[in-house]
Amino acid sequence: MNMAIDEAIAECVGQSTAPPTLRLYSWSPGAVTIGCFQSIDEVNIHNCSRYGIDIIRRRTGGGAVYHDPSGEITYSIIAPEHIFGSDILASYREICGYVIDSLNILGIKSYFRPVNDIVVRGKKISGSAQTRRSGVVLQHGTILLSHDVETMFSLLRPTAAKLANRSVDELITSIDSLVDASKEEIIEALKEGFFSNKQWNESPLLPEEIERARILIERYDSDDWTYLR
Amino acid sequence: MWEKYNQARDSRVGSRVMQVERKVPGGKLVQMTSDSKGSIHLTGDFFLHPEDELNSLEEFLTLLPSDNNINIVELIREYIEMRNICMIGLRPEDLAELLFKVRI
Repeated sequence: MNMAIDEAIAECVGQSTAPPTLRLYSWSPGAVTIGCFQSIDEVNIHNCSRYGIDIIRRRTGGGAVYHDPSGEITYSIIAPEHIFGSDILASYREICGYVIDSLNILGIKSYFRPVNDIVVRGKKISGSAQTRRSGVVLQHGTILLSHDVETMFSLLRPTAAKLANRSVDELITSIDSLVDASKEEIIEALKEGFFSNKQWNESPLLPEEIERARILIERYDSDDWTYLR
Repeated sequence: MWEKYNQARDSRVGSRVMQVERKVPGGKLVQMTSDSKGSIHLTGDFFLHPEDELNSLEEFLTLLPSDNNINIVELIREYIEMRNICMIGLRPEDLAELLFKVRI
């Protein structure tokens, strides 16, 4: 449902029935999302089925992600394209910059690594993916609160080329490895990082967003879409 | 679920399938497959905007001739510019190299 909600919000933003939106959420149950161009072979379908993990193909490119219910926060930022400009790489840098500011509030010094990663001492703590459709930018990404390597490896099948002979622990890190912060503190830091110097208000999903998401979820639930590649 | 998975695989797998993959500058992975009919398919964790252009790009790559006298890189670059495609983590040179390898 999370991807359907993101898309529904993007449609409403495009129709000017919703303002630019930041959404922060977790996944329950856990899920694996794959980029829209990825082969389904990147996922261990058998284990996902065995552990009750949903497999969802995103509308954004990028790689496969395991969304651990307690191990990460996902953000989606959705806004008219003119807010971020036409330079896609620059917009990745800008939006990731808000996450970097948020991590800084928590006492974590991080850096943007093009195209779409945020790293701490060379290890990835956040990744993101962006799509632009009908004049609307949708970028969603994850911030790792903790990382369960064993589960991740049981669900994902990264190729040897992707790992380049390195272990996952050499490649990723998480907030719990760096500072002692509650999920609530992290969420507040994200709000502060994204909304610094901006007017904003917190509100639930609009009725039209919920209604539209209930229709859009049919695509995300369909095997034709999930097993597209 | 398994029926759709097998269909997805079968659409790429035939009596002869060549697949090459490469981690390109920027760290993205791209896999190019040539199925039994010689159709080119691209998968990977790259970005391409607009996303809907990938199918037409695959069709274009399928139709490109295997001719050493033709500047394949330039043809791909011209196509991408004509279609206003933005590739991130993937370059015309990468596609040309993969096309050469997958057709060997």
